[in-house]
Amino acid sequence: MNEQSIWHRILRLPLYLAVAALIMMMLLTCADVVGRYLLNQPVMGAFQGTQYLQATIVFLGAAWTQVKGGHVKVEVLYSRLPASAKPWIDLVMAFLLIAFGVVLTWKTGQQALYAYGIKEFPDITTKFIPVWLFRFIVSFGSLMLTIEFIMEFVDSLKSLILGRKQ
Amino acid sequence: MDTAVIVILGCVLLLVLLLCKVPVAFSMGIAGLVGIIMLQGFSGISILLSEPFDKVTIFSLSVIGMFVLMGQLAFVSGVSSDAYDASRKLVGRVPGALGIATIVACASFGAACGSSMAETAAMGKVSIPEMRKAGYDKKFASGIVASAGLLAWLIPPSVELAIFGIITEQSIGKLLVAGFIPGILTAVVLSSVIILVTKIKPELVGRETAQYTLRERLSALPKLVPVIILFIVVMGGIYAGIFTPTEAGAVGALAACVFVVIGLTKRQTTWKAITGGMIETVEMITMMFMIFVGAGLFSFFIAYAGLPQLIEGIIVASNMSPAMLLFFICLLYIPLGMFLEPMSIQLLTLPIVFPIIIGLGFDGIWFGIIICKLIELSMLTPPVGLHIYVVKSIVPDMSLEEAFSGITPFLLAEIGTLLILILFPQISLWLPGLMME
Repeated sequence: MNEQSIWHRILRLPLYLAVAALIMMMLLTCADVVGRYLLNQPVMGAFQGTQYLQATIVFLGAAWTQVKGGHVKVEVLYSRLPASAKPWIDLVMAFLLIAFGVVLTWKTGQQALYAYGIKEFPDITTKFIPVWLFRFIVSFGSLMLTIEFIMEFVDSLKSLILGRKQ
Repeated sequence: MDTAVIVILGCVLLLVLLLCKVPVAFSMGIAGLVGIIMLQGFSGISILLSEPFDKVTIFSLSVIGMFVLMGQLAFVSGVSSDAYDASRKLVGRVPGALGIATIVACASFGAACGSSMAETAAMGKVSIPEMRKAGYDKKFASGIVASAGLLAWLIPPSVELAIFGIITEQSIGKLLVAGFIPGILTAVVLSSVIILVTKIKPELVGRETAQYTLRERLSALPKLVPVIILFIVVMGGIYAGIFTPTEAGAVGALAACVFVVIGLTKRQTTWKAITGGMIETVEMITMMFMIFVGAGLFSFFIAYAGLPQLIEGIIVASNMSPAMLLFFICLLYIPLGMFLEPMSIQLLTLPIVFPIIIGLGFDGIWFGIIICKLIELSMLTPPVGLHIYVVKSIVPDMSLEEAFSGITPFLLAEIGTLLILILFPQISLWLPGLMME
């Protein structure tokens, strides 16, 4: 098994957590509806819970979606470029993506640490929801995405070197 | 450096990144961040402390996730293939019956599925092989599916109309209801195009031999029940003011879970398909929300540079009539649609365009329908034309050029429908006007 397939296996864990968050989001909203209409008692923190589960789905699924090519891209010009130019472009673009990913991870992580320090919570009635935890999830998801960008950079580099050898 | 030069550089960088196949979300993120740094200095990166988190925790966006989930669950439960089978039997032996059945099936599945891409993929997999088996020209068959898939944009629940509502702060419930009649109108126009083309060029549809008895047709009706139930739960709930759109989506998704369980017992679906559907839902939600994050950064850069005010100033100084201005705004969306995908177009343009439209006295809900219709066109036109790529992936022996040529009659029909909707706003506004406040 090469390092890439190991990495893709690792990424399945956050992906399944994202799927679990999606199911929880659906159930939480339904429970809130049932509570409101049948028990006259909405679920405390359902609104905020939905918001943070949403963040969990997005950032835990971000790297996997990149692996699967799920982030929409424009292929029209690229597909018409000469084959020899593509690895160079891929390399430069992967480098830019890594730079973006690093800054994103750094800054979201910095904010997560700050939120942990002040024990951030949504409001006085929902003190039991640890906002810092979800901020860490966003930063962790950004880190996974950055590692995927690094993998793609290495891939481009490999195909460039191999192309030259041939 | 002059602000105008920075804005131009930012836009050029965005274009270069897009053309070099960097995902749209990250292209906008990188170009936006570089632009902010150029305007504010390196301290500008502190926007990343909160902007990504704030964007993905916007509550109103949760409606998107729930609609996508409901559509995927409906698809894996076999609701889409049942809808196609029933439509096929119900349409009978009119010219181009299989094509019209595809339109009817897309319209009815659109009532359970909020995403046009998901609908095109789902219906294409079922209907294109059937149409080709019956001797349909592959270009014509793929044109039918690519255009019919767009019915999910208007027939509620629609993810795209929900996004419009979120960006412009218009009532999502009213927008969803407003899409119903224009959606049905589009289905009727597309069906008429199939009949017309079939009359002019019968060789495009081969020989349709299938005949169904009245009993067979009646027995197909129950297959539409799941779609009808989902529609009533979601749109009935919103229309009657029982659910918010997010709640309607979540309850609809839970109802779709019931159909998945029924599908499992009938062996119409498998656990593997269900897991795949859930993973695909996460991928679609992630893709959409990352675009929100990227567009948020780019929009911040544009707004900080003062571009919206500049454009507004130019428009006021131009002294154009509202109708003329509307025409130019509509025209603006065509080239944009050639390079950007629909959600990014909405996110980048609406904060600038929408206040102008409202200022001119046009109705916000009506404009939502018009924008949806305009951006629909971009889903069918080169070079981005996402729906064309979806059908192309289902018909591997068809070139991209062939796929685009097959769409021409339907594209003209879409333009005709757009003109009708612009000229007669009541088509869009009558139903939401009856809604409870």
